[in-house]
Amino acid sequence: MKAFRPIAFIAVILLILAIGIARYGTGRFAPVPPPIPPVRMPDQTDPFRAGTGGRSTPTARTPVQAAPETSGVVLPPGSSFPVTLNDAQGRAVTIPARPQRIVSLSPGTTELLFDLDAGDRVVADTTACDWPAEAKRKPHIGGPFDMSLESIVAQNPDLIVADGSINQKIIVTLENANQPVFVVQAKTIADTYDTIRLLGRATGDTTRAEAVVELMQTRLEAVKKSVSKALSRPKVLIIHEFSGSGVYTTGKGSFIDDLITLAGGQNIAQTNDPLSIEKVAMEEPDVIIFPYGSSSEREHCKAISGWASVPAVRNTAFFEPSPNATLVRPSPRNALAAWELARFLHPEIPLDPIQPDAAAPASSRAGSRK
Amino acid sequence: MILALALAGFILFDVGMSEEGVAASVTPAVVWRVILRHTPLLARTVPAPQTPDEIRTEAKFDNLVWRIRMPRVVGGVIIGMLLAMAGVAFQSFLMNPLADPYMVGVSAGSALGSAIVILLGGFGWLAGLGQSLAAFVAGMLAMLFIAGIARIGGRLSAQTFLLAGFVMGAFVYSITKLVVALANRSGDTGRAGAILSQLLGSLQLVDWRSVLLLLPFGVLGGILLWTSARELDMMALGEESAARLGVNTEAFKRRIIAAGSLVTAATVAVAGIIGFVGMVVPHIARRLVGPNHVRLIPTAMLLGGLVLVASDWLSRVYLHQLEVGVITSLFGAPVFCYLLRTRLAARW
Repeated sequence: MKAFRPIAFIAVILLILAIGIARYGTGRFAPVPPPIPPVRMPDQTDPFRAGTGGRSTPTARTPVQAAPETSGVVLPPGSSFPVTLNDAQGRAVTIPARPQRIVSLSPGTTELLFDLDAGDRVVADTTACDWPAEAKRKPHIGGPFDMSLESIVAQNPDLIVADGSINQKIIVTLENANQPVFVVQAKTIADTYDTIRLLGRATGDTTRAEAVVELMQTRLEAVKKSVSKALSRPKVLIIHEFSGSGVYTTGKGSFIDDLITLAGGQNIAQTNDPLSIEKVAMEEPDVIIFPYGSSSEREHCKAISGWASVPAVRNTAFFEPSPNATLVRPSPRNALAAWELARFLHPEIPLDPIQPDAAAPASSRAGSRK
Repeated sequence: MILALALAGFILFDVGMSEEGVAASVTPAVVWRVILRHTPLLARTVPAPQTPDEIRTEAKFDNLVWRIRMPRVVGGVIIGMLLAMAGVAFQSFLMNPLADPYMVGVSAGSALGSAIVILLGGFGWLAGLGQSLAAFVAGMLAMLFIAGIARIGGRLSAQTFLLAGFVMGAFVYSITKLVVALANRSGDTGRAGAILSQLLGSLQLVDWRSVLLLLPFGVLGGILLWTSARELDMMALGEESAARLGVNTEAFKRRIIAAGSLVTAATVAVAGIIGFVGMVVPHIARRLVGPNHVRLIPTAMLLGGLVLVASDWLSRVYLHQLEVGVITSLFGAPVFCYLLRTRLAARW
């Protein structure tokens, strides 16, 4: 079997190469860092938690350890530096001075940074960052899924804000390169408040952060109160895209679901699993939400012959958030989306106009209802 | 024959089974009741709903079974038959056990056609018909291109055809990857996903309109192939022998390629790329009834229908709508390995 020997030899070499690359392929011949156990932000189910709201005791200028069991974000008081904070993945990040060169790695984090009046200190963001308008004019370091380490490092950042749900690969790369990465992640509305507070502390403006959180809470509460008068809850389906498995949607445990419920709707999806065409035909949703506002999804809905009797398709009850609102990024703009959705789901209930943001800096207030 | 009965039986069984979210209300009894109501002679045996509530529920069931599930199952059968048919044609004509509609490069071309239309945002346009049309045209163009490459001195060489198909498939695949990357970057997020669905192959979106689209291809292709059964037998002996026996080999080759590609392009236009059915089913059929094409073709067709419906059954009921193309590939490869090892694939 002489023919086998060279083949076996090559196969072994390739195997060694593959293992070597997998182990050391991060570029430095350093041991693979142990996986960081993701510590989720503690869960708050009621956005109006009275009481502590997570302020730490006055004795703290000491570094704070994340304790998953306690509720609320525990932050060092004041807005001074240096400060050590635990980010959403349990990483203890020390920020030596007020960050002046911030790089944002996702559209969601960019929005929040601008809301916290740190927009002028953001030196670069991604090509997908489109809110507010100034974010589009910043230098870009690539898209949210295809950015390079070099472009980020070239900006000489003192704080890199990343989103744990979409930037995972680059986060690991940044850590290995000893870059100041700070990860946030929001699964529920409560997480969004925590994220705003955390970022506010990290960028040195806790007063503004509290104001943003309070305004968002006020607006959401107003919608929730108005909608409580509703007699029924229309059945809602949120469609992200169509696929061979059916419809990609979002179920319980996410802020999108929270927003739908808060706006007086009833999400027909229980989990994040795709729903088959048959299942949707059985559930007969009254309203379909297209969070990205794509026309191809709408057309597709109308083209499915088995859905002609579904109320949402029959009445063309399709909802799309306005350009000033968002349902899919955790941000204060969710409040406007909830308000618009409530108006769509319950046209019979008069809603108070949404409370304006009096404290917003003029640049981000101009031309947009926040 | 037994196979036909088995297929019919399985279809009835499959239609009755629902995925877990729906099974509680849509029981097999409900399904068969709806089907009976639609059959011209037996409709009267089914009691009609009385109360408004019953009428509404029955209407819902009717919609689900007749407009969503039946076309999916029937479409699955037809697609399985078409793919097996094309598989038999290509394998015999190319005298190569590895030939299947995908290997020949036509599926890849069709998928690229669909992908480009999706990228350009044409999904809503012509309500999906534009996409099917593009898939179809692209598949035929791919076939013409491959046949052009394989034409040496005015004669179509079988071996070169297969190689050209291979290369074409690889090339087209890389262009499709480019299209996916571009779709990913476009503003509309649904597009990359839609293209990916095409590549994975799924029966989720088959409705009666798609079935109507497939039916003429099924009928025409089937007739064309069956009437060529004797010539296929002779081609299997080798081209020179066939020519000596009176087969007009050039015209025959063109006919077979055209029929096979038409049939393949139609299935990809409707359901995306479903692999391995065209490759493995002819081999199993050959093992069952031998290489005589008069019996091989119908057997392969029935078997192909059965395989695809079975895969869709698994996908629908147990695997949470996992794409059918994935299932056929997962099962097809080990089956083919088994056939190779037991040397049955080589027995012509």
